[in-house]
Amino acid sequence: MMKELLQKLYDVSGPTGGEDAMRKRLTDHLGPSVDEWSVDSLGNLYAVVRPKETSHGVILLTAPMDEPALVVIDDRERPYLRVETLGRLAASAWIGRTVQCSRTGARGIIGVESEIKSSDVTAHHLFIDLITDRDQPELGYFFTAVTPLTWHDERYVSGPALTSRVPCAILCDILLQGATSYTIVGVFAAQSELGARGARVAGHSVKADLALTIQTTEALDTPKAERGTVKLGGGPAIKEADRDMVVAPRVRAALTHTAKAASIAFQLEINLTSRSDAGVLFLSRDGMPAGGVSVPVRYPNAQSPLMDWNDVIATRDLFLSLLHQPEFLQNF
Amino acid sequence: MLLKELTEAFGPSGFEGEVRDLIRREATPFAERITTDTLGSLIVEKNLQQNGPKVLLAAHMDEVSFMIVGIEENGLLRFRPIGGVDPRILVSKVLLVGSKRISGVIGAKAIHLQKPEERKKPLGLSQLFIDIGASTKAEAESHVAIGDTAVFATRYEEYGDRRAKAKSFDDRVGCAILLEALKEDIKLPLVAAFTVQEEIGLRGAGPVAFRTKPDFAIVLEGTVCFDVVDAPAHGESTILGAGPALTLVDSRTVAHRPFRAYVKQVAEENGIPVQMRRVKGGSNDNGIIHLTEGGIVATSISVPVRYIHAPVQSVHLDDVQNAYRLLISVLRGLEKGGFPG
Repeated sequence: MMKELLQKLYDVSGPTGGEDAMRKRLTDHLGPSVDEWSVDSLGNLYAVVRPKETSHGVILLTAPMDEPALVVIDDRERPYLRVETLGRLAASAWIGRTVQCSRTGARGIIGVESEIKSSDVTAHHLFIDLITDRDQPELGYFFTAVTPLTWHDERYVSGPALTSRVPCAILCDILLQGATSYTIVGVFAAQSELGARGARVAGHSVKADLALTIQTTEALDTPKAERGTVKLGGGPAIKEADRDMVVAPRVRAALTHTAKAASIAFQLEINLTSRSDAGVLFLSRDGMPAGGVSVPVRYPNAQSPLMDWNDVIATRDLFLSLLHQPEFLQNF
Repeated sequence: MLLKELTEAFGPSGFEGEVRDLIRREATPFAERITTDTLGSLIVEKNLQQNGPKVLLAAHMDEVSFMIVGIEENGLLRFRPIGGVDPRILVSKVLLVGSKRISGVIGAKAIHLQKPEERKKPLGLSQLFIDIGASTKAEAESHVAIGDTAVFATRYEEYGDRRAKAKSFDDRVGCAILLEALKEDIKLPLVAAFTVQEEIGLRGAGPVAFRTKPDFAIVLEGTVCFDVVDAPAHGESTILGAGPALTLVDSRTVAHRPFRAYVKQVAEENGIPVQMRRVKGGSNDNGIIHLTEGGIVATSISVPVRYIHAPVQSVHLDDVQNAYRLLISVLRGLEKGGFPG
């Protein structure tokens, strides 16, 4: 069921800063399971699921819905379009990819000016070869990579947009499980690739008793990788520290105790170079208790981020176990 | 428009007092309330009781400039830039230094004294100094102190075909347009904010947006224009004389697409030329305004400025006029509920 959901989310384009199609797909999919919808000026989608009876508190859950994109800035060399890059992928990582316009569906291939060394490639050397002059996108339109989701032995999954679609699938599934004793505000966050811009605004808009991010973290278990705490298949990575925040012990303990009680194997995410949306959430308003759980991913910044589906399911289960404890916020 | 007086005023980031005083003097007859906030931004409000969406118009007062950080025994001054300046453009430029606005010239080792390898490298900040005509440290100290600031000494002048040059079109051109707009009878609650410290990280505009809580924001800017030599078409950003530029993306903002589309439509309906800003680099106050509190619907209207962040900046006066016409047309449209938000 989650696999089908992931495929559904994967089939739409979610360029950072232009997440319209993702919002529509999520709203269509979740439909009546959500009590209240809203969208803000950054493009964040808010989905509120109210408690069965009296609310025991407000829990903000965020998942990024955007992926790296190219934005068209010049069309005077048709059918070649000049672009800028948005998001974490280096300009050179786009070379040779097939891309698709998120508004018109037009497809093209990324070319690069000749005589440029690959280490010197910037966005200004790239172009989208639209091949035909048929439908010309307007300046400001977005393109994202077209790469199918690939399953490996039905357990492992890879694809470039997984780092947002897996968190979105987990958040969707949590919201679909129905009411708890909390007011759950699910935020499908926009512009996460650009430095937590959506989350920053969402942190102000929602006054929550606890904010938790559902994101991904790099598994550092490959040859000669930098030393790290997280490995693929090691279970959900409960955030302890990243570049933007150190998680309060009580927030981390709520998650680790839940995992132990539910017999979910977990690991701790300690990665002082990676960024997340949690850092801006905990600094919003007059400060908000915040933490997160991340799905381990290998090769997050390359063509084929790879995940272990067992980690994905266990991450979802950890959230569900937490949300079905009616009293845990009172111990904060 | 008050282009000459505004561009010649002295306004390093953090030292915008002279510009602020000038703007306050000019804005007072048209304002219902004028406030200077904690950071120094000037907030001019009009039509406070008017129904309709509150619109924040913002232009920054500060300019790229310099700070004196040392005085040598021989009376020469060491300095550092405030804001982004390419050190390669500095040698031999004339500055106005300190509260007395004394003249200084940026000097460096003469070409015949430079070693062959030195000649191949651009001069860095540590090889440059400001010469204010003092022969000793004591003499220099009677005119300037460490912490004083300096700006380029360029005077405003019109030249060629509707061109003008000055030291600080970024962003006094925006200030001039806002001041002019205050004279119009617009039936909307309006906030014209003249912000501080934009050049060193968009610092002033966030507190202004937080304080005024607008429904919409429009940033008036001078923006990069490199339609001259050796630039590929997609590297020129904007074209001088082709009209005000609307932002697609910059380094701090992905533009709110519906609001930009509305501004573009208003331009077309009124026969005002516009162009898209075709580069991601650079940013303006919108970068912080649109992220304020729960998010603010915002856009930028930018005047192309050739040789921006350099001693002599150049604009086309038609672009300035068209940016003003576009701003007024958009406000008239918002007055009629043309963009529901």
